[in-house]
Amino acid sequence: MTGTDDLSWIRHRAVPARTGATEDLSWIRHRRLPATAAPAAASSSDLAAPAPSGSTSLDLSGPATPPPAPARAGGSTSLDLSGPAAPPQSGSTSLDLSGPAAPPGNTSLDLSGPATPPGNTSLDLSAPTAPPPPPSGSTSLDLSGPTPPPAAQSGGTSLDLSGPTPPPAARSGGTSLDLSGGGPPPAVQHGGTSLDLSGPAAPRTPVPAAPPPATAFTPPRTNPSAPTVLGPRHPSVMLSRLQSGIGALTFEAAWSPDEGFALGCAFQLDSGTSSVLRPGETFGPLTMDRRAGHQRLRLDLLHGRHLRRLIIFGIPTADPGPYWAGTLLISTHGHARVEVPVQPPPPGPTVLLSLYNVDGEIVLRAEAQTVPGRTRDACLAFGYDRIAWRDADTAIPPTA
Amino acid sequence: MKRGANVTLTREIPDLRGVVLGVQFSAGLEHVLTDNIVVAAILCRGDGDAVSERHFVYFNQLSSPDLSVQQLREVVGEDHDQIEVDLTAAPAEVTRIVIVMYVNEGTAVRRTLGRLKTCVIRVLNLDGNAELIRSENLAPALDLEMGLALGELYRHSGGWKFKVLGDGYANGVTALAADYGIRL
Repeated sequence: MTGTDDLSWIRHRAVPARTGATEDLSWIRHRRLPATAAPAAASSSDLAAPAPSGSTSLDLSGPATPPPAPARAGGSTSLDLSGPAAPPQSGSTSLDLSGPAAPPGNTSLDLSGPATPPGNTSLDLSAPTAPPPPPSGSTSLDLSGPTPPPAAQSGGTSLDLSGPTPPPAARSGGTSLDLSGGGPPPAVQHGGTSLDLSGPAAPRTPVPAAPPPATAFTPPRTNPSAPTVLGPRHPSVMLSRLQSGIGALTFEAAWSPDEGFALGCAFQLDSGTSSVLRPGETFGPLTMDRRAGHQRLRLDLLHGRHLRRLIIFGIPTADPGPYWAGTLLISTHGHARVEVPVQPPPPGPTVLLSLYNVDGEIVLRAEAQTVPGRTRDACLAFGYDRIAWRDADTAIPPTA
Repeated sequence: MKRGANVTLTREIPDLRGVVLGVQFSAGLEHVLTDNIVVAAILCRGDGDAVSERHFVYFNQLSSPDLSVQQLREVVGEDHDQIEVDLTAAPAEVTRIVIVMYVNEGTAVRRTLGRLKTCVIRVLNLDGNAELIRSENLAPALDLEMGLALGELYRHSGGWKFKVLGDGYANGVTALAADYGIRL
């Protein structure tokens, strides 16, 4: 999620675990909700809590100890994984997974602690909250823990994941998901349609947070009059829909001695089939052969439309010496040319290029990543984790 | 219809709103050839060039930007490929819509269109699927061609006409693209 120029959003490489959500990409964050909901607001995923009568409760909430409630000002759509003692925020756009909070006028996905959200329209995954009013006649999924007074919900369709809440919350006409734990102030929700993860919060405006529009991004294209050179500063290029579908794409290993740096590729099809191709092998639209003394990979673009992604790597088989140099040449049917300079390879497989089929347009990206270990390690580093291996360098070929 | 023949579609059927251009071909057991044939539609301006490279409608670009010409992923009927043309939605700058086919040169084995036994383009009414026009078999005249312009829809005095072309291109899609001003 760095600059827009390097197309890092399409890279499926294994990255270290996400540490907090500091970027303002709330529209992406919504899809991570199930993952991020777990560490929210002291929620200990208590699924063993006795269910209240008439409910099908899944208790994701924590213990019913109401932590101090830092008030969060309204308009917040932020993802906040902070502890309960977070300072009040106002006007932010983060997802709040914090402890007790009172976000009035909040339109966010709030996983905060105890809150009193009357008229709330958000997903309530809150920790110990105030005794919610009795929901009556609702169709909500009540996942709450042991709630002393049985919940009587009315007209709501909310999903209540609250923990032991002394007095149940009265819900009317809402379709909210309440994951709140037990808390002092009663939460009254009605008329909402959103997912409230907040704890006891002040009244919030029922306006759902709209995903911000993605910024206009013009991908780099090939130049008809000059080769496109990919490197660290300009690592990627996107082929047009015609370049991505007509003829074949050829990748030529322009270096010598040829044997010192063996070409290979790992691929994954839309079907999920994934494997590795070595010199001389063929699978589906991919052919590895030799031409004019160079190793070459050809991708048939008519039959390769079901290719999802590909990496091309080199395996050093002999010490190349200090003066070695080479280039990976990519050419389209229309003779558009892309060049990827290759540095003298250090020991270990080096991923030279990645290819992604983004809805019919092929994106090429120079990688130059040397992975310590063997071929399998290089594939795993780029997320090719569905390959069956015979040994650390040899994959079992898929059935065609 | 013989190659070179034309018919005024909108005079024959005044309320014609759209047509389906179907292409049928067979090469017996030469699956290497038929598996690599691509059918495309090119939307052209008055000067004969394609409006843009976005106006080359084929399997990897299934519709023109104005959605007037669309290639079907799954054909209805016995055609190998079908392209639907909404004549009322075609922009005014589009004066010709040419249906072409070429042999994709992606595999090592090279086959030319001369191995085709039959090759027919037909025009169906978009409403009701009734066959309006069927061309003659264009295959016997083919030899070493790798590309073929099958037929074209074109504007004529406020209406649309269809003409069977059957023009071969020895250099395949490269020559076709050059002929219609498309940069590959």
